[in-house]
Amino acid sequence: MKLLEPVGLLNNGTAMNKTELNKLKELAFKGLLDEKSKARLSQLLNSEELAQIEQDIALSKLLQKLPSYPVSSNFTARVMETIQTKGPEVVNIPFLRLLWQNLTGKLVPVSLLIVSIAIGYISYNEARKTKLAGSIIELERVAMLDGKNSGFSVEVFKDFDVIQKMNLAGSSSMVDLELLTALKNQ
Amino acid sequence: MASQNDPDYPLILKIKKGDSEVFAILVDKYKQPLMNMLVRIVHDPVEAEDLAQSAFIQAYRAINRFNFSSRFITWLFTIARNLALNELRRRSRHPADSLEQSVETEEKTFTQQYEDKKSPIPYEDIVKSELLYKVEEALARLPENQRTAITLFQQEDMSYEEIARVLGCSLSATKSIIHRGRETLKQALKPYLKSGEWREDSEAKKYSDN
Repeated sequence: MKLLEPVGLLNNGTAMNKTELNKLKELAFKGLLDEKSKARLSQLLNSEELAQIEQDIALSKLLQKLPSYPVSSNFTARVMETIQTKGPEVVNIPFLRLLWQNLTGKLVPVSLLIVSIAIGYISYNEARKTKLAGSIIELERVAMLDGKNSGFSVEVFKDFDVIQKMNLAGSSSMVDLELLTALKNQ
Repeated sequence: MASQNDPDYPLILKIKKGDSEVFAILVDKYKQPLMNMLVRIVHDPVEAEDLAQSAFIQAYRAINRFNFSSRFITWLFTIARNLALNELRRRSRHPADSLEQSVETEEKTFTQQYEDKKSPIPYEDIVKSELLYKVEEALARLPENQRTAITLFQQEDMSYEEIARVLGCSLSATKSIIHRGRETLKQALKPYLKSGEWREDSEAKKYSDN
């Protein structure tokens, strides 16, 4: 019997339906061939192949007739007793899967928070860089002052320290109070 | 989805929800086919029964992990076959030990609580026909995977796909295993198959049943 081998042509010369033949053979193996299927098989196969199928049917019938081994009458009771004592297993979810399951619910708000923090940090960095760049431009402008092109001279900054100290002195409220007290006394 | 084709689907859902009593229905339904497969693997009815019991207990304990990717019977038979193969491996490592020595003490007490009204009978007493005895002998000489595949195919009416799952091999390999097993059996039983003795046996059985 050639169950798995490709089937070629029918003995009557027509193209064979391999699927149909395999189905019929499977039915024969299971001993489930009815008269109609048997007739169809005899159309599809030659006498030698039919003899093989007959043997297959015989073998299947014998295998189906093998008696069952007896099971003890208390078998089910024994199984149920053990089951009721032990109970079903609690499914242990691996740590990483558990972590992932817990995080999935919180994933959206956590990721939003992370994105917000990242955007804030990047914006702050950008602003700082812009300010620094502005200061560098200012410094460059001062460094370029040569009195010829801009009309300013470095001499302008000669008394810078003195003027700054005067401004500081002028802004001090303590000095103003002393002055007011002195004026009142006069 | 296998769950739609599985007649045990509603029962398993109930068990998963905590109705353990329903499991008795499944035990009653599958104890005989399971026993038939296991005896042919381990060649010992007593050990086969212990293995069948362990298989049911394991299946129940792991029921929450059963996801209906196959029929329950396929899953149960896979568990049982793995247990039987482990037992054979253990037996080959320690030939003097019997399975009963490895059974936990608490399980022993369960077996002692019930009166065993039908102890396993020797197979020679069950097989009345000499021809069937020859068939059983020829089947026993096959390699384990061929023997199991043929038993499942012939006696339990399982599909090639389901047998492939139980054996843990591909569909084409399963078909090949069954084909080779059947060819070997046909060679071993050729004189009986040709003589038509199997027909007489069948007729005789019909009369004895009536």
